[in-house]
Amino acid sequence: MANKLRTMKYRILYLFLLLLLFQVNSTISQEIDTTSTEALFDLSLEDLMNIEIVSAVRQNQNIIDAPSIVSVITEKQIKERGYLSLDEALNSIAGYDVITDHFQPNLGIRGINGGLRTWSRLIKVMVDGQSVSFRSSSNNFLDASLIPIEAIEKIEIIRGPNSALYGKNAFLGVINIITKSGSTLQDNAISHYIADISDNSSFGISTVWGGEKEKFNFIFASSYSQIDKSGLALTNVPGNEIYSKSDIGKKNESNPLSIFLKLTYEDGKFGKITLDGTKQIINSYAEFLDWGALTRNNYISLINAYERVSYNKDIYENLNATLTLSRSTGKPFKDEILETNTDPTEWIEREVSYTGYDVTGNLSYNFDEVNNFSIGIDYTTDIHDHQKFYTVNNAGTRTLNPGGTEGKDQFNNLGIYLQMIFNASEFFGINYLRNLTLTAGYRFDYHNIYGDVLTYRIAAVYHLTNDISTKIMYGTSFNAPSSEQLYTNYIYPGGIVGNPSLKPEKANTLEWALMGKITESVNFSTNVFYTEIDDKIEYLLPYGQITNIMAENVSNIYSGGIEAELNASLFQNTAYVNYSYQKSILEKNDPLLQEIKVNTALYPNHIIKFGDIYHLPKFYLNINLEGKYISSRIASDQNNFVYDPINYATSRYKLDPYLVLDLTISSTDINIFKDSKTKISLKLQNLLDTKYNYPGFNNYDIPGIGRSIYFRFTQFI
Amino acid sequence: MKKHKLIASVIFLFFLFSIGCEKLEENYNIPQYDHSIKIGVVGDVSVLREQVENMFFGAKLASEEINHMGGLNINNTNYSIELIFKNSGGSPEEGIKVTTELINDGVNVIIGPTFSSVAIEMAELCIENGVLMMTYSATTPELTMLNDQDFIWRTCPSDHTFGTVSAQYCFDSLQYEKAAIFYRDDRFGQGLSSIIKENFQELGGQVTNHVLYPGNVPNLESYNFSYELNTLLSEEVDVIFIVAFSSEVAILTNEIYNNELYQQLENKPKLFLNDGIVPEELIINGNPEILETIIGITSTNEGNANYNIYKENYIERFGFSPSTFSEHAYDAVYSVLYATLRAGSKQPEDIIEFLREISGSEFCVDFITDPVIINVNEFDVAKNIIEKGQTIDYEGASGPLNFDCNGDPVPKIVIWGIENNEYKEITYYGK
Repeated sequence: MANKLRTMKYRILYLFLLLLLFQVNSTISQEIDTTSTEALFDLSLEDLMNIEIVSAVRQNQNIIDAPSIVSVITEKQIKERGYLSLDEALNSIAGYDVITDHFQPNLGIRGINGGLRTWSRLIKVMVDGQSVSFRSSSNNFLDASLIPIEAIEKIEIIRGPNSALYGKNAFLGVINIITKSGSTLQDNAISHYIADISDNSSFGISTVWGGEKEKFNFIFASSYSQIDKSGLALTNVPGNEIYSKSDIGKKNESNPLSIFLKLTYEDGKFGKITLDGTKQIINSYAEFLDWGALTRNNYISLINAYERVSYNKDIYENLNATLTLSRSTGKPFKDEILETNTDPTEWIEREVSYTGYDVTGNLSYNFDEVNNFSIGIDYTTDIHDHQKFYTVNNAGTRTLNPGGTEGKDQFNNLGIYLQMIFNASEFFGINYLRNLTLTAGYRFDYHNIYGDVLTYRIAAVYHLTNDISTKIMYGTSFNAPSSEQLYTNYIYPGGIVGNPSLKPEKANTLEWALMGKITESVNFSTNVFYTEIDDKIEYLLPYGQITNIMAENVSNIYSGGIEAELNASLFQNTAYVNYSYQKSILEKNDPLLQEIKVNTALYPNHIIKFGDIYHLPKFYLNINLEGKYISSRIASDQNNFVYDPINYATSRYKLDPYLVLDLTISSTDINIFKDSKTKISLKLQNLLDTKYNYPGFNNYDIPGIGRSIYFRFTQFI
Repeated sequence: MKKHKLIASVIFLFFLFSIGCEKLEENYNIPQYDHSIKIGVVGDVSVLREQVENMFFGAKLASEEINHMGGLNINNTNYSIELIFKNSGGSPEEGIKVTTELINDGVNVIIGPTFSSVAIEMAELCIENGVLMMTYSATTPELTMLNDQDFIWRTCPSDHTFGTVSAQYCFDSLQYEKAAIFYRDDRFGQGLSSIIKENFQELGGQVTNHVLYPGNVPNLESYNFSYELNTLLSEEVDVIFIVAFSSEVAILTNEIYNNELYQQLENKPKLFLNDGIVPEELIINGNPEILETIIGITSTNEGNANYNIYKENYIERFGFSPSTFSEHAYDAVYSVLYATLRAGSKQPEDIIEFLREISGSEFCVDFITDPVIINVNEFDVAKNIIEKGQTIDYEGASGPLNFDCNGDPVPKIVIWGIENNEYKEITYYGK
């Protein structure tokens, strides 16, 4: 009853605020000359095709010239579409698919998802070039705790391999979050939202502050949310009735906290020195984890952080040097409790932590505007306390669970890379090759656990016209086994144990792309890719004397597909639509059928994503409608065993396709308070209240969130 | 010019895409047969996947070896072996359902099921329909007692033997006088625990508590054992006989260790485990503090060269070691097919006439002079001998089968323990 009243109160509040919003708008619109306000909207898409990106070759390059398949999400798009976290933003990009267990998003890419207990570990996620994975597991926690969304200037998203530049884990993609600086931050701001998520109240608050004085500039941003996704019922595997309708998540709450700080000193002679860091704090009751569903007390609480100092200087006119030193740490907090069942007298605690030190150096020589040679070296030392689960009872007995393996505590990696960007026309003056630019990169890594790895990348970019380019790229990449995959003990009997003999997964990818502008207001990007992955790590179900789930390099994946994106700006609309099709085949040895080739699980064949912002400058409003169509996808191997215990390798069920629409009505920057701007937005997530499921891994699938309402108020100061 | 470049690019795009197309096709690698002998292989795989799949793999290995050596020639037609796997889900109803499906599909030989409770119900349906059933792991003595018209067989030893030896070993060899029994509440648990209790008491021992735990909990890890364990541990005993499935034992050891009454016991009792437990699993997943108090019983392959050959072949084929009962499933397939070859008929009533003979049995058969010993993976040799009208004695992966008059094998049994986290065989019973 109390809950209902609370919900009702929120709804009344929403209504009131909505009315206020329109009242404010109408008042302002009467007072201000509307023709001048139209200038506030930059409807041109030119910036999207001329945008400079840094991630493809570690230096500024126009997106059309970049030898990679790159998409960019700008600060403006984040604002207008009302994204609250990185995963929401990434879920609008072609070739990416985000599923979740409501603890953390799990990003799949181009037909492949890491699966059981892997959260977005197929890609390398960086903040200004600094890897932000939780190094004990190599998982990337992409929820609101990763970075305050207000601190983001743009997100550069690369599909395809990039180990030749970034080393391990730049496996199937790279996401580089480019943050604002004190000099690019337009306004300080404080933002607050309240939300009704499937009849549960949630809220969040975030701030961003910064500025510059003389040669210094700084930015500080933070965000905190209290999100309640309780009330979701487990979805049974078809043909099974293990869970009833009353089996619902009653404590699916999370409190992500994120802090970001960057301080820069820049001087023409001295160069540029930057101190930056993030703190990612996850506090989450997770009701849908494979080791214990609906236990009410699975409380994951951890910190993941880095601090870095970097120095950049133009040594000579054409020679630039960068040196960085960083320290990364991560570990659970003492109040973390893991539960595999509902027995209150016994629970699980874990010990795991890492401290990583990275030293990187890069020298880049520009022969001219295009031709460039770079050489870099990086050395990483990760000191691990490998993951250990303990069973604890209320009598105070703490017993180490078996199954773990002793391993080296220190992971050391030395990487050396070379990269050449070469345009014969510029270099030798061969005019007929003026439209062709070649890029070649080569990297050698030596790791004290898994040895030598060589990766390389070659690319050719050809300008068909000034505005349209075509690219062909081939590259290799690798994904290193994490400390958790190598050495962990199990959380419950029969659960995952480490495998010290794991090798890195390796990928070869061939890509072809065509992109550019069709008109001043319409641009496109399309590509075809083909990837082969060797030694793919799979979590094998135990057989007989192999008694626990264990990661093994046992399969290969062949994946091909096409991705197409269209952006248009027409008649006060800014719209995008993208389509991804992929077919991915997992080749593995099935004990009964021997060598089989089956479609990969967890990833849909077809994805369509679209959005349209309708700008109403007269009313100071943007109306944004976004949608995603996700075709059916094959359920997890673990669930398919429940579905068909005999032929689960080949007889597999699919989760239904679905369409989800989100509607955001937001103001432009308006003046409610004197001399300061305000932005108000109302977002209806899952407008149609579509019922859908994400793949689960332990006898159930995980329901998506129903219709939810977010009201957000941002005050610029 | 621009247009041409674009067209060339698009053509190139499709060329590129077609490169990988061949590798992007699904292939389930399902074998096709012109003529096949269909054999149903039934197991409670959804309940005990890790173990039952190994039993399936044992049967699969046998069928692959036979097919690789040309299959069976019956009445001038060459037959391959086609195994049809079914899940009986640990429930008699499901067992009846899959048996009916197999019978409707023209199957008249069934290997399986796993559990005794399922086997009893399936056996009755098989007898009624004249279907030959040979279980590889259902050890209940009830199968021995059935009026089965020789349609029901097994390659694993009966619980009657295990129960008797368990009680004998504890009372006579270890001189334990006071025992408790903790058993799963199903036909298997009830049957075996009763035999242990009867034998232990007959020998002069005392059974203080005979406590059951539910056999139908889907997730035993979340079950609260407090009541059962407090009852079980309410009196000090020398030994606790545990009658459980292999997958449950690790959980039970943790539950027992964490029980307050157990912690208070001055002399910790030995835990005596039934047959079918996988010690390797127990060493990894069981409570390390009480591993060394564990004793177990199982049929043994000690000194059985055929088991070693089987194990090698199994590892080569599947990439991991076989677990308990997989060799029994392997032997079931071979036994049935040698008898089929000997009978020259696919009909169960003909096959059962020769099952004892090909196992080298001395029971309920006419005396046979000098049968040729056939070891593991010698199907081609056996086929030649049988085609010449001679008799064979199949020495299986699980040892000499020697089916008795009830269709049960005569086993060799081992008592084992765990020492320094390693499996150790303590003593042997039988030939």
